[in-house]
Amino acid sequence: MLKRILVALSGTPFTPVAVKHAVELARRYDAVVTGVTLIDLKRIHVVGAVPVGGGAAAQALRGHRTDLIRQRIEEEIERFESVCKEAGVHYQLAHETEDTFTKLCDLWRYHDLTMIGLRGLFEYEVIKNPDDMVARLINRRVRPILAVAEDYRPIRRALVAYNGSMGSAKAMKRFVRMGLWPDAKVKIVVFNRDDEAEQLLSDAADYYHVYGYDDVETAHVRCASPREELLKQAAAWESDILVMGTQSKMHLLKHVLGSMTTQALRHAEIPLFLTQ
Amino acid sequence: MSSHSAMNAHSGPPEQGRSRLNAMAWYSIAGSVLIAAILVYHVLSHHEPSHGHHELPALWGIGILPFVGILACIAFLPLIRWTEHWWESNVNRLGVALSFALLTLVYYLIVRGPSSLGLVLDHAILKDYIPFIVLLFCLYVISGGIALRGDLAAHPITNTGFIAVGAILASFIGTTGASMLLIRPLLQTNSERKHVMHTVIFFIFLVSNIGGTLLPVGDPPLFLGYLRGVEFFWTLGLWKPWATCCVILLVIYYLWDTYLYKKERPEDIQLDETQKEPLQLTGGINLLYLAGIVAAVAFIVPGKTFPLLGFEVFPFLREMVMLALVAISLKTTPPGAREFNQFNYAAILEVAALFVGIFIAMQVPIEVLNSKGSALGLTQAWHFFWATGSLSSFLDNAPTYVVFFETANAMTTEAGPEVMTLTTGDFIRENLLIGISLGAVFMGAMTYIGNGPNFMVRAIAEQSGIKMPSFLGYLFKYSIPILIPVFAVIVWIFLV
Repeated sequence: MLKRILVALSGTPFTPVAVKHAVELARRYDAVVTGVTLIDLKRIHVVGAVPVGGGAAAQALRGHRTDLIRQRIEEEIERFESVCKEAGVHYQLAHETEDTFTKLCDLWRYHDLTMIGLRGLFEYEVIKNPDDMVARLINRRVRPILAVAEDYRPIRRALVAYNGSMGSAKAMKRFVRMGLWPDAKVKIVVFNRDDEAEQLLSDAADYYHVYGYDDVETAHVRCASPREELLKQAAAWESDILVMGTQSKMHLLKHVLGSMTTQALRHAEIPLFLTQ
Repeated sequence: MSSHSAMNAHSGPPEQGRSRLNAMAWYSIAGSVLIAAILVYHVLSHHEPSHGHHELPALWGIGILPFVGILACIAFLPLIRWTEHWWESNVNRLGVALSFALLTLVYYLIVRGPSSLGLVLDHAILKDYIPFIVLLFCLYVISGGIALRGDLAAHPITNTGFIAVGAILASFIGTTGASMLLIRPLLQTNSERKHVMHTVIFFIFLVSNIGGTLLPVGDPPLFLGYLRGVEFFWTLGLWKPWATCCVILLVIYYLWDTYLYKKERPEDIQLDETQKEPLQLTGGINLLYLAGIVAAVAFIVPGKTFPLLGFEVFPFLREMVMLALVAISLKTTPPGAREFNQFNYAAILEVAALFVGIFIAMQVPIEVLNSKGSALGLTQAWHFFWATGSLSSFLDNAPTYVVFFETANAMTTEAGPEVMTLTTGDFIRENLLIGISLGAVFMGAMTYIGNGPNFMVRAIAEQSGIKMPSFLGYLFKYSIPILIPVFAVIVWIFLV
């Protein structure tokens, strides 16, 4: 059931694609789309160290960034409204300026799906994109998330990364139960896990059959680095979307072990459907 | 059907904040009046000028803390969330600076008694701060009245020419003046190109820093050297390392820009070739006034004979002449020139507010270095180059220069081969002074905070839509890989 979609009007190259996916789903399921814009003044105003005599220049730079972002937000809102009206979908707008991250997470509570870009969040091409902004959102347990790529492609082929863990099982189940793309062809991939791969794939495919996915492909891939192999598999199969779970301590694992999700976020050229 | 949630407005400062500002203003006024009163008393008491103490001041470990404190405040208060906006006020900056100044005066009161206060302020304010800030003010205001407009075709040779001219001009009108004069027409010239960031970076290297080497008016640390007895035209002797550094960097830049020019889109190049506007100078009369400033600094020397008129120059006559030139500039500059440059007094007021504290607080470290400077272990010119340069990269290069100048000065107590006699009668090894001068000026280019115009140029470029690197990006992707090898070559050729 999909009744409310939250889409980040971030001012990045991913935003038009996020809006397009949101509007498409809203039309299909008669959902309301909420476009949210954020100004994180603390981030915008970070200009780094300032030398003696540079104070006025720093203030001017901050003021310029704020004005530019406000202008770009207005443009984003205008574009969003135009697309929604043209598609005939219900929409609403939300704008936050203080404690923006918390406010975004608060908005998520009352939405069924959150759409963002794979990389970048609310920079409006004014400030640098810190790598971990999207990861922060995921760390705050905002789920499910559809992180879109820069190029739009209709979702016809979905690659599901499954390793038998609770996280990947929840991801796999959520994807099929939400049924956002019921006509998509599905392929389930298990990396390594030689002892139980065949059983995992068979059980997962059966689960998908119950939900009406008749033609499910499966693959057991043995490789040294599943993080890197996943995107290759997606490219080889011409997948339009990648379904995967995320780990709760993404930040820590990213730095200590490196995570498949982080790798995908950094390098994927197709949307990621991220759940528990 | 749509609904629109209310926009959250960014709120202004609370009433309580305003009353705190007023208190700070009164505090600053009180502090300034106190310092001025001590100075006036000192002058009227006809105390003999001191040549400075060379014995280590008592409790010097405590005495240097105000100097460390003010530099720490300058470095960190703009970065801390609770103080970053508070620090934007020049009244607050002055309050902080005066606080550290007063702490230094309290220190001297305790260790040397009330009679020492006048001497400290004599050195810090009368001999250093007033000439320093008046020169910076005059260069800032007069060069702010020169506006250069235009949009040339952004060929690599044109861009290289712009930067080369700036690297020469900086020595005559100051690195800040040259940077503010040339950055806007350079950005306008490159407005049709996509690859512009590297041009701004090399501009910062050459115009905002290295270019200011040849005259004391080129960069504040060199002027402080002049005030400490370095002959006015001595810095012209640095032309060889200056020229070598400039040529190497200009060649690197030309090749880099040529490579990127070929990567520009054909439609952008076509637009660049067709959208042109010849260079137009407004307020050019100010170039004459700047020449007057240079002449005033060079030839109106307290205690010496006034050129042509033959009378002895009394204290602050030079400053009066310079301020008169400023008044004439403000009167005779066409109205649009300063507006085009978005001129305002904020930057110079900030420098004035902070340096009053820096110069007073600096007196203790100077005395410590006069006494113990040789213990730092710096003995060679290349030692001084890298030591001065490393600190100049992150701290203001003016006090850094003074710190190492005093160190080198303390190490040289008599005339001899390779020893230069300063106009004050003191001595300094010339090769050490070369190392200090080049280190302070050249290595101000290493970071956005090494020199004031670095950050100003970065801000102007960003406001023109150019994505400049972050602080660390500039340091690790550009200044270290490009400048360190070049400086190593300069050191090897001229200082080893």
